Amino acid sequence: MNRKFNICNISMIVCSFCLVGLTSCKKNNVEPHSKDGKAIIYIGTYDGGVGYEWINTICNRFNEQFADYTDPQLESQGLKGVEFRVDPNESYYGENLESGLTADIYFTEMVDYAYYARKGIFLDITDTVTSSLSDVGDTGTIADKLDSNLKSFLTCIDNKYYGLPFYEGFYNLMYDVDLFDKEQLFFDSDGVIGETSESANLSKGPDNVAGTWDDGLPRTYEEFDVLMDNLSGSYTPIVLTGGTTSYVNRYIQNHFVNYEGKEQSMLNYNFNGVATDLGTVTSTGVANKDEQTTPISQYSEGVELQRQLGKYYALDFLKNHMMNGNLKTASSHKEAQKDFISTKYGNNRKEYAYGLIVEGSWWENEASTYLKADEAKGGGKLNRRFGVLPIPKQSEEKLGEKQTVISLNSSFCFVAKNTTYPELSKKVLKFFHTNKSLSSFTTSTSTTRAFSYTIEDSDAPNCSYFAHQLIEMKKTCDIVYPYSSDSHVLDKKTNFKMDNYPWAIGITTSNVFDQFNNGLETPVSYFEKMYTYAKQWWDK
Amino acid sequence: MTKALLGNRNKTKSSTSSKKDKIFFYALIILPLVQFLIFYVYVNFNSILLSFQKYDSSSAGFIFLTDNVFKNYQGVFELGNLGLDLGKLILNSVILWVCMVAFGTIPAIIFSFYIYRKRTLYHFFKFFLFLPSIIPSILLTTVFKGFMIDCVSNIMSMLGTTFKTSNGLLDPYSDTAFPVLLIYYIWISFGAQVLFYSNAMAQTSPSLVEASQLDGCGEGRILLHVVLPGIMPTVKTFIIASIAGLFTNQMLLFNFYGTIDNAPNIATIGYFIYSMAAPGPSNYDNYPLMSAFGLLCSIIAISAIFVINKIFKRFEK
Repeated sequence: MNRKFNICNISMIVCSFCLVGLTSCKKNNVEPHSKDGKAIIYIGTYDGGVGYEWINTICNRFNEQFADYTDPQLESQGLKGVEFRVDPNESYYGENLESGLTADIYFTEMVDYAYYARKGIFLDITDTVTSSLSDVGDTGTIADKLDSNLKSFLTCIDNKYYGLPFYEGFYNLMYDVDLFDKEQLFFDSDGVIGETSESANLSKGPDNVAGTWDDGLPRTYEEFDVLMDNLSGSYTPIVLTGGTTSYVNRYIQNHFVNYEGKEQSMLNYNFNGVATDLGTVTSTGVANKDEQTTPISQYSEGVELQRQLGKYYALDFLKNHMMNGNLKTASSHKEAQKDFISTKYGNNRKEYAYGLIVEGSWWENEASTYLKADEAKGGGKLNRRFGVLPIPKQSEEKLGEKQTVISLNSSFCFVAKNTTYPELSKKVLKFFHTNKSLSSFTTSTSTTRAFSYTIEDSDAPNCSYFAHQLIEMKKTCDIVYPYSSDSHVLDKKTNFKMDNYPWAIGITTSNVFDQFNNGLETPVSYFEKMYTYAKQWWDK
Repeated sequence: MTKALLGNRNKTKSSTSSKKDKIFFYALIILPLVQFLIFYVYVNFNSILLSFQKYDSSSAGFIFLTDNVFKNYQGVFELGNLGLDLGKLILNSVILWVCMVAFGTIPAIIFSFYIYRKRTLYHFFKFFLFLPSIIPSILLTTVFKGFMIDCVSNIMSMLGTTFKTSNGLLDPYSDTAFPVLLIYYIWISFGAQVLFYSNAMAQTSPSLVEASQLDGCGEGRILLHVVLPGIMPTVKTFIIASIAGLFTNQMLLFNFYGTIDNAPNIATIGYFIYSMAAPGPSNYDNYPLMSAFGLLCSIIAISAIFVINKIFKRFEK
């Protein structure tokens, strides 16, 4: 009896271990359809700043529009209609996807798109992207809404689409318009600080065009210093979200691309063109631009791009303008957001009263709990006015050049190849990319998606001030999507990770902020080391 | 006839019983065997193969090096050119090991002896010293980190000490982080050692201890001349086994900081390999180089094990 019990027991333990292993390989859709005969679509999303409420909104609209949806596959199974199950989970981070896709559709970030597409775990959605959107109530195709560089990256595997970009990851300095009004921190047309946002005499901003979203804000590094001086009297000028200092390194990539412009910046990823901005910097920080331009026609020549002067000016901005006693690291990003939001009310001590916050474009959605609590004071998401500080130009000569920003985070959406309902999943994905759905996303999350779209009239009143700012920024700026289909880049993926490229100066050293903060490097030495280090690994 | 029948029945019974024994035996060993085959044989074999391969994006996998099969091994010796302070990393790893042996093993033996001799509150000490080994390390690290940053560093700030960052004493770029982390790691590893040694001491014959007491030995002499020789094989095993971890011990740095930038003040070889070969496809191109590095470290560690073993043997003579 005892022995029998032991054998059974041990066998069960062994089997359960094996089952645990096997279940991780199997799709988790234990329920492919509901009891009332509806197909169930599982939508997995990374449970981060962008959140998931927006998915529910779009799914509800899908069900309104396609209440009795059916297709040959569903018909053959006697199913009609769709039930959506949204699964927000931190384990759906792009790096973890290899352990198995358990949902049908994913919206997530830090996705190694080329790797997963090649691995064959994403469904080919070329027909969805290139066919007309008319069946889901829109015009044109999804491909029409895509940036050309993004298009060529997305089709780098077998010339097919295996995914689409998800949200745009802009790292910026965010400011509170009301606080700036209260302290009169806007610049007039003569470049003198002391105006409010309502003033008729605002400067034209870095884009040098009147009537745009950047009016009255610092146009040059010099004006940025003036803003810092004015803020430092009563506030901590800039707060860096705690926990990770990498946000600031990502932010200064904007300075590099803004100086270089989209074409020169994209050379870093397509290695095809003529570099016009290479140079050296003297030990005193004087930049000397090369007299001749440098043709870049292949990957091996790309190493020279580490001498792009825009990279030096970005380093210079961080060290000599941002960190010049202006920057504080908060203990956590939540704490930084909370204190930044409440600064306007004047109750915070100076060390917790922040003028600007270094954040990602999803921050307002991430801070929704604090904004909700703020409603009692007459605040709340729709009543607060947060803005994006435009990237100041390095010098006055650069004023008027088109602003350029960079979208990071490798955020993509895709259909799992092992989806239970391939056609239905593609249809749903298509529905998520109509203008109405894209507009709904921005309204709900105050974040933008990497497509060309407009905010629907019905959504506009429900969009926060910050969301409108992002939309305006998108309209007036060139956007760099830092992806490359070059095989060398895909092979040396660590070196080309967003936190390593272009800032790496050693195999484990790419955090500019930490290097400056600890007095280990200066902008000049850092710039030199970027080039020296690149020469060590570029062709190996 | 009846005898023959009974004999057959007994035979059948015994063959059924031996069959059941076999099933029981196989059921018992199959899991550890499978684990051994996968995690020891396959993983290590794969690591050796990886050290002769490179990542290939066109197949989303690894392919064998053809032009220079030792490229990854060459790469290990060129890590210095890539800005890695390898000397400092080795030094930190060695300091960690030496401190673990010197400040971990000796106090652990003394405490184990205290517990073995059932002195005042020995149950209490046994429980509390072993507690860190039971609590998940990530939880304990979070608590410790909070204590060091929010409490100790804040108090020090109030008393006039200035810190460069909000990490206070645990700022990875400061000189204070490494000693603090070292003390924490020794403390957290203490319980396991105490458990090992107190169990080994329990095997010491009580009559030997009684005899030495009758001969007038104090507690120190009992420890040195009676108990310690008895547990010496355990101490030896513990020290030799710890050498195997010389280049893999990451001192819980990942729990404290995740992946941090160049921080030679605190980084160990184990942490470097761990952070470079973190799970996820975006790090796959590092795996071959790290495999080669790991293999070279293993060769050094194995050599060190032979040397230490020889030293022990010489002392035994």
